[in-house]
Amino acid sequence: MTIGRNPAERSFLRELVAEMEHKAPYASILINENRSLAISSATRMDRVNETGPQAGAVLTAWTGEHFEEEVTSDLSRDGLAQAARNLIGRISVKPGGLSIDPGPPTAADYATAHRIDPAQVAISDKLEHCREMRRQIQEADQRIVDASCRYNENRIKTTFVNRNRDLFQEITYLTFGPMIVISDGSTTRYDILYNAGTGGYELAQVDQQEVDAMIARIPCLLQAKRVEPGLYDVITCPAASGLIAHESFGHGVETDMFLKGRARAHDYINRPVGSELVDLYDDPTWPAGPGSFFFDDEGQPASQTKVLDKGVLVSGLTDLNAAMRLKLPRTANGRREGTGKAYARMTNTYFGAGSDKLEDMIASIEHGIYLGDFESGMEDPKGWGVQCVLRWGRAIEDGKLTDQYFTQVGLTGYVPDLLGSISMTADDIRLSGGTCGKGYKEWVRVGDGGPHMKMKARLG
Amino acid sequence: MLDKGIEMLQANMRVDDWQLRRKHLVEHQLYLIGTQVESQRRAETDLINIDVFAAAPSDNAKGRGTSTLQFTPGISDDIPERIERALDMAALAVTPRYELPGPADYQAIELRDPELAERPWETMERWRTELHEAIRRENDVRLSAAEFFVGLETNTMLNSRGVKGQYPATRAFIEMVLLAGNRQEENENYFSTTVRAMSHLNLSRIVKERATYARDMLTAQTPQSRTGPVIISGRAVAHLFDPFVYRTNGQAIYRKFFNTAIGDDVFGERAISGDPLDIAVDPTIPYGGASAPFDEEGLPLRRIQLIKQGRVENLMASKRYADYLGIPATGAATNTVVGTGSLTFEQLLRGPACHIVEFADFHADPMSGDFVSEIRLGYEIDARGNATPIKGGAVSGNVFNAFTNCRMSQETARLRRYYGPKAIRFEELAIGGA
Repeated sequence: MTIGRNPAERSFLRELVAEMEHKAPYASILINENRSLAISSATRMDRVNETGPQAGAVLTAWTGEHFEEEVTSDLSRDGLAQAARNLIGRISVKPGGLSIDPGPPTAADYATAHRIDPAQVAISDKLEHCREMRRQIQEADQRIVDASCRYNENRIKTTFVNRNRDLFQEITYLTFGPMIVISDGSTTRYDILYNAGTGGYELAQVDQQEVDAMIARIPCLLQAKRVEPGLYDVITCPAASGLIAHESFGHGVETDMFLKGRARAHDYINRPVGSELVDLYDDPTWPAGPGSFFFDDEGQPASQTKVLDKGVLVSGLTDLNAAMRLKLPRTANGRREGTGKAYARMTNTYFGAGSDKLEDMIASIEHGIYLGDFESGMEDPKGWGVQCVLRWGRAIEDGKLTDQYFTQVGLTGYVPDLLGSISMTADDIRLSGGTCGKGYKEWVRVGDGGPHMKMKARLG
Repeated sequence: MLDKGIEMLQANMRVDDWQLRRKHLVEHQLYLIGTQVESQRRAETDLINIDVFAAAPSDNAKGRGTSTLQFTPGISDDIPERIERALDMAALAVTPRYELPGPADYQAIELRDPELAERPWETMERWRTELHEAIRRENDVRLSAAEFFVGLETNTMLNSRGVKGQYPATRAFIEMVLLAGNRQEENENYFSTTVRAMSHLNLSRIVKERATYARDMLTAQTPQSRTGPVIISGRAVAHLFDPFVYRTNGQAIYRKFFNTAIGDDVFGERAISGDPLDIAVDPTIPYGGASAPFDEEGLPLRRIQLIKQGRVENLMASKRYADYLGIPATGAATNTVVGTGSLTFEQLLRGPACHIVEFADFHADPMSGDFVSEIRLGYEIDARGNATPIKGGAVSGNVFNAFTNCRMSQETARLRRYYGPKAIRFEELAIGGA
């Protein structure tokens, strides 16, 4: 089986869907294939690996009551036909059950737009690009014990076929950036920069000013303290704003959590949950966004969803199952980790921009902390708690940034209190890339972001 | 297809060495929302990874390049081209030479539970029934959702030096969320675990404990900010030891992250009081979460004492990093086994103290040992032993400081790949709360 634009193979998949629907009220087939190129240049070792194709098919049948799925990595015609027989052979259809709308007839092929096609850049040039970045930072400070630069290129091809839909997309996802490990003999820490997005080789760069800033904060990070626990005026950088967007309310509006009774947001639709300065979006159409695509893993075309409008919760994010059972509009959020189960998941989630200037925001704080890059986060959609761990924070005293840094800064709190405390939002929105799990598994690529934001937060 | 691929590797004059890993997995999955089935899935996947080693054009004795090609049987009919391409890439990144392991006798380890391997659907149905019955015995608690996975994997390892190994292993994953309270005031408790044997899962006991947690969440208050005694139990315990294990990692030492040497005191010049620290890795535990007869290079695995009485006794290194550092190759990290302490769990809970049973997501930074995590559920214990539920706020610290003054329980816990004390009492940790 060739995954992609081969009309004969796509026709075969449609026939297989029709065959499954002789018994099942609804059926679909998703095939995905992932190829990746990973290049790294580190102080003591360079690596070049091309992996994949790692591929598989998910055959789905709706029984009128629940979903049954068969997953196979055997993509030959015989393999797929056998998987379809296995699936249909084990299901019992419930007459009169809920029915699934296959959507309007759509046939389309999509591909990520790029300025520079990565396939046209020699692997040796990509490696040399990493080496140059690594050399530049390696030589900048003797306290750098290991410098590295990584380039990752993923090409994900997805075919989705149901009764009405015949879709194909090829997404190219790139990450690029340096990492340093620093030590003064007693303390070891690390710092990292990276650019991530969907697009071409033009993404293989990081802002030189950010590289310079990373080098400049080496002595500060080695001297950094732990923050004194307490409530602070804070300014979040766009990456930290994005982490808060993701953990505070992104997970809480994934509507499969509504179905399970796990999301307090279910009771707050059309009610205020944050400051009037807060708009929150989920948007897989964000240009070059790390979580961008053309259709989700259940065949829903990508579109923007406004989640919070001036602090009021207006919409959740749906997958096929939750939209059908809760009678909610379908949004493009049915996503799978490879051939895993589909859940309602975020794509590019971000706070909308405001009109404040960063310098005014810093100047407005007498004693507070600027929160830098994120490390990790965890949601709590039921309790509306939130945990965000930031790699570093920087003290603000008398309206000015100081050289006092803090490491492993934890931000916790009650989500409505946190979002309700947002008092200034800058005009400098930016998205970062990362991966997101559902609980502790089912990892998918997402983008998170927002502008610089001023709020009150409990740090520890 | 595998034999054909190996023939191609052997026939290619540019291939200096090769190693192959294959993982075939059949997994059955059951998803529940409340008492209803949401989805049932069966997944069969097969993945092959081949590392090719290309002779360096200039001086093969000093270095050679490595690259990995990966493919799924059934979709790749261009193996010869892929091998050539991998060799081209390997030639771009020449690294110091190291020798692949040769053939070895692998220890037989019990990793395949016949019940899980042969009756996956029946097993999951039995768990479903047990789960619902256990929840019915609890007051004021209901099931939000649950997921059961039962899988049988077959791991194969071959290399050009004659390594040949294979082992089957079962694995089951259980996730469940319990809800307590009513719609106006409701809270949840999340639980997940991975086991390799049926006998390692006691759903009734888990539900009883988790139902208590879910109910206690309803009345939990934010703790007061302070520094003082904190007892940590639950899944966070396993992660507290990660930075210590990482200090003995050959790759991290080769890359100069640390300059750890055998005999080093992991606490440096800090004064120690409390229980000594003993950490080993042990791949031979029957049905252990990370048990295996060999690692990804085909090295036979065995128990290694990493830290004894706070001093580094052995370093842990793959064949590559062992050769680079001139130390014995131990293979990859497996199950972490930590020595137990001097006090009972009950003695550790002496008040006044704060006992944290669940964090939002606990990790200690492997480089610095710093940690900070939100309290999902804990208990303030007063001098009389009365426990009051708490949630919110955070506990922060650094493991290299915290372990200088700690006590570990005599009772043990098995948490996926961790085998060690069930709870640890630290005399001075910061709590950021109200």
